[in-house]
Amino acid sequence: MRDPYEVLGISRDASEKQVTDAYRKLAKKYHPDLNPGDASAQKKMAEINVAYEEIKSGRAKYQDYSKPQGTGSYGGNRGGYGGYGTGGPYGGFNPFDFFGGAYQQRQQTSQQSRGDKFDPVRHYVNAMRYNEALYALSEIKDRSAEWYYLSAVASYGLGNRVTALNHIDEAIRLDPNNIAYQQARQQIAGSQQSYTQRSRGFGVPTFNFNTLCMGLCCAQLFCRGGWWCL
Amino acid sequence: MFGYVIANIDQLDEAQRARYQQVYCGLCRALGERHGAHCRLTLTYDMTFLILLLSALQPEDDMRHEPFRCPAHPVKKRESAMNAWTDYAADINVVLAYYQRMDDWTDDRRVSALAQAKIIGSQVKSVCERLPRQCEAITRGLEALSAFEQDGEPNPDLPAAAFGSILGAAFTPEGLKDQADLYAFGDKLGRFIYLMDAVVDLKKDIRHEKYNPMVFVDSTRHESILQVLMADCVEPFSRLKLYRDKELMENILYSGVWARYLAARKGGKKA
Repeated sequence: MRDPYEVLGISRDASEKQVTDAYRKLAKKYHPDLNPGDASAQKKMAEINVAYEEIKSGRAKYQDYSKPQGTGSYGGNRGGYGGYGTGGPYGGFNPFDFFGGAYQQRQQTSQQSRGDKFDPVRHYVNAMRYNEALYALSEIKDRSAEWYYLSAVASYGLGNRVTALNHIDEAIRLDPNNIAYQQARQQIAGSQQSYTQRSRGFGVPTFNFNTLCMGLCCAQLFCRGGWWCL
Repeated sequence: MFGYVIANIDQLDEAQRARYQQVYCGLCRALGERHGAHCRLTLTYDMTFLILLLSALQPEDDMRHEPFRCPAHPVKKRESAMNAWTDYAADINVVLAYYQRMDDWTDDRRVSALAQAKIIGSQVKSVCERLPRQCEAITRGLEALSAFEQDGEPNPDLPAAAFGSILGAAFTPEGLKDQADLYAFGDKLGRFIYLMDAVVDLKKDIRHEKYNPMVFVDSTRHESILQVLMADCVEPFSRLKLYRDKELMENILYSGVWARYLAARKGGKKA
């Protein structure tokens, strides 16, 4: 892995703002949506994303990138370390979170300990201590399929659905034959299939202002940005 | 909010369409009568859905139907339908609109936004005395959001959860027994709306070097992620005991919420 500071073209003592600005400039140049059909842009963007996440997570500061790294493949989002879910800053604020937790727990398959470095993580996941599980995972440098799988389960437990989906797909990509990963994928994707099926029954929705506009929405549309109509 | 929670009008029958228009007009009238004519300009379809949902939880339909003349369509008289939830939704609408405009002012220095915020602002204080929990949740959620935006947070779940907490509070007025399901529904709908908005604005935000959490996720995965979030959202919805307007709301949740996304995608392909 290349030095993330080098990838973003900034010095190691760059400020938070310089990191973000550099990232956004590069995204503007390389994002695949703005460069359709350019395979090298896709690759470049993936590298930029990894570099940005490395720096934002604080890992890059203490890492010597001239030495060879673990074999783990990088990519996807870091989990919700110090997350925003049940134990996050909104912890005592969301009185109903435990309903979701209990519901998920019921369906979750238990994580057996296996005498490897992931055992503490499995222990936290079983105890529904998902923030701690993610923290323990962040300490493990080698990102194997199992790493992504456990990160997906813990993120899912915190209600962090996007990370959960990205990481379970990464786990399956690294180890396509693991049944536990496939089952976790099914649970995380939930009732996506039946939702889309029902959705299709309605036909393709059209966003048509002529039929939609029944009140002041047209006035609002034309006034947007102007204050003369207040 | 962002105007994503709208019906797919083409798939509504006559009665559903009339009902949707009446509740929408009722909200607009409540905004005008409670908060002054200028607040009508903050009207959104999203809050119409909130009225439909909260009203449907009551066994009896207590909507007051009245003919009135709409200032935007003065020729023909229209009918509005209003109940206590209309007033509640109008209050929430005003608070959300206020903070959103303040945000536009602090982020982009849009003078028009500040001018609007100043005018709406006088209403916010009285609303927040009536609805302290909702107002606090909205302020806290938006503060968290702006911190994530400023920080360039690469994990999309975090700002999405902050927006979810805002809608969770908005969907749980005092005194209803289905609080847990309503909160879960609002929370999940909020997450969906936030990320849907990010997906729709993606190219624009990249070009203007603005924060957008979906930049960090491979674009080919976006649609599937949004589907999962919406599937998640209809799950607590299906647990609610609804006395009416179920099909109308399902039209919105299964179809209407995709209208702007599909319109943007179609527009993007043409360009």
